[in-house]
Amino acid sequence: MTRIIHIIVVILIILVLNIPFLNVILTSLKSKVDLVNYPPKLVFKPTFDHYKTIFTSGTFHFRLFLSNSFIIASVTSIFSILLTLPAAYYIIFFNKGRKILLPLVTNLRSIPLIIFAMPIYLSYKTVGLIDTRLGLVLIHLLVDIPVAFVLLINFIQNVPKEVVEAARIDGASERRILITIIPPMISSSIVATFILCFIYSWNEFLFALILSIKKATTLTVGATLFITAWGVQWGEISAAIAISSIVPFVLTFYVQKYLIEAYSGGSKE
Amino acid sequence: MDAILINKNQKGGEKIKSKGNYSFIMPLTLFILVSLVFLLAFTVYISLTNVKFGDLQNADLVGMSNFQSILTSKDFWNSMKFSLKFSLSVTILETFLGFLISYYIYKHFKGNKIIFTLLLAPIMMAPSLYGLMNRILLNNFVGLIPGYLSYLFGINIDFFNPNIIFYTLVAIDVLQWTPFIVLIVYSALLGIPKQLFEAAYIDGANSFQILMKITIPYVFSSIVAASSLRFLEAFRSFDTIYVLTGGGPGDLTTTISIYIYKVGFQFGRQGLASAAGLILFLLMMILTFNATRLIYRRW
Repeated sequence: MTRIIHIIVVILIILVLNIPFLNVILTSLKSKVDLVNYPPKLVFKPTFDHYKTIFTSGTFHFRLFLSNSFIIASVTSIFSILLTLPAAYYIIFFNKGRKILLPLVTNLRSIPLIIFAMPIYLSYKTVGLIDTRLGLVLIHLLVDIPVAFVLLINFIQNVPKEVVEAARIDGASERRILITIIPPMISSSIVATFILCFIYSWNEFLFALILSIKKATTLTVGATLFITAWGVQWGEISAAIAISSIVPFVLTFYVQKYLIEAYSGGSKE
Repeated sequence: MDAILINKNQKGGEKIKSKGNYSFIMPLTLFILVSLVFLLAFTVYISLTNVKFGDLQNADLVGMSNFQSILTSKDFWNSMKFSLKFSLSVTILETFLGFLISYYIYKHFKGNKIIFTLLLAPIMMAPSLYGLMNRILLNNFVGLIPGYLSYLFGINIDFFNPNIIFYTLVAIDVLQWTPFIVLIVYSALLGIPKQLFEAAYIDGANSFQILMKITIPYVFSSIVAASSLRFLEAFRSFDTIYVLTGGGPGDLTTTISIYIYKVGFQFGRQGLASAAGLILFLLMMILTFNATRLIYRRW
């Protein structure tokens, strides 16, 4: 009996936390008539009209936003890992760089990036990087690198020291250990790191807002375009948000266990 | 959210001769150093000019006058005050609720992955999109909550009216970020060695004593770490509030980040905005330094 009460309580907590998302999915499936019904309908005949509209409409370049977000997030994540994986290996297996590099990179996240909006905007304007995917990738690297670095350090920490030592004794070069021995041992952690970097970049809003005009607009900024001077297009904006959010939502199921692993620092027994 | 992940004193193997392996860290170090030095130096330069609407060629050096204008600007201090009030409110609420929820899950649903993942879902969503979701949920045209409040209870509330907008924004932030505290505190709870509980139980401690004497002290540093990080993040909130109110009505909900954005990009006064940014930067560095010390105390 008490078990049932606990289950009800936990379902309520989950419902409250996720109501904004659930409501968006409901709203996105309502027809134009159902949308304005009072009281808001909870049971109705679902329609995919709004999804069709955003993918085919000539005024909102939703497909462009989607591919921009996808390309920017993927490229940023790959380069974040390429830059941080060797450094993480170096910190763990050479035991150096803990005094300067590590705090430098991890403290990067506590700098409010709005501070750099002006120099980035002005220098991008000078070199023509405004409204380009490359420009956004460069900035998103600053967002993603601290995340990737910390996660990879934690994951590489769990690689048994004996493996690396044995490889060293067998005469493998450090570069070879890094390229052929480490990645297969932590492949699923690298995937998790990729996914988290991907989500961070996918979700970034401030710089996408400042640095994009039309060509490089990402989903987070693109979704706000459905709020027009003539009013909000509730159905379309809901469909756009639902698609943009379902991606991180689904990925969460994969990275969840790595989040705990990373946060508990391998200390859970 | 990263600082706490790294065990500062953990020995990662003995020192190895590292000659010729600088290529492992050079790309990262160079990228970070060059970006930071360039961005900071350029920010300082911009803050000393009267650049308007991105026209750097025709800007003049004006010395410290931007800093003077910012430090005497009422709008700047109002936005600072709003950010402080907002971040303190959400941090206290989120820490309290976050601890309760994580303890509850730990007690009754330990190891249940689906429940835990669904609890974490909000922190994975883009803050800007989460803001828009709440706009869809809370508006008076198609919103579910105002619709049913009025239909079932006859209560007509405009969640975005100036009198209660602050509470609406706090509630939305709490909805999205309490799970962040849950994530960290729950992970810390999982790290408590079982033997501690067993020993206490054998010694005749009751569950309240165990909670106060073992559980809370054990996860206390994680709670402090999680809430300091939440405070720092909330202090510079931009995305959610920007999409919900744009800092308005008037400048009622202008956070410091929104203030800098408005000055720099809506009014086009990038010199002024850079000066404000640098002041914020110094302030955050002091706060972060102290927060990091708190966070690392455990080790």
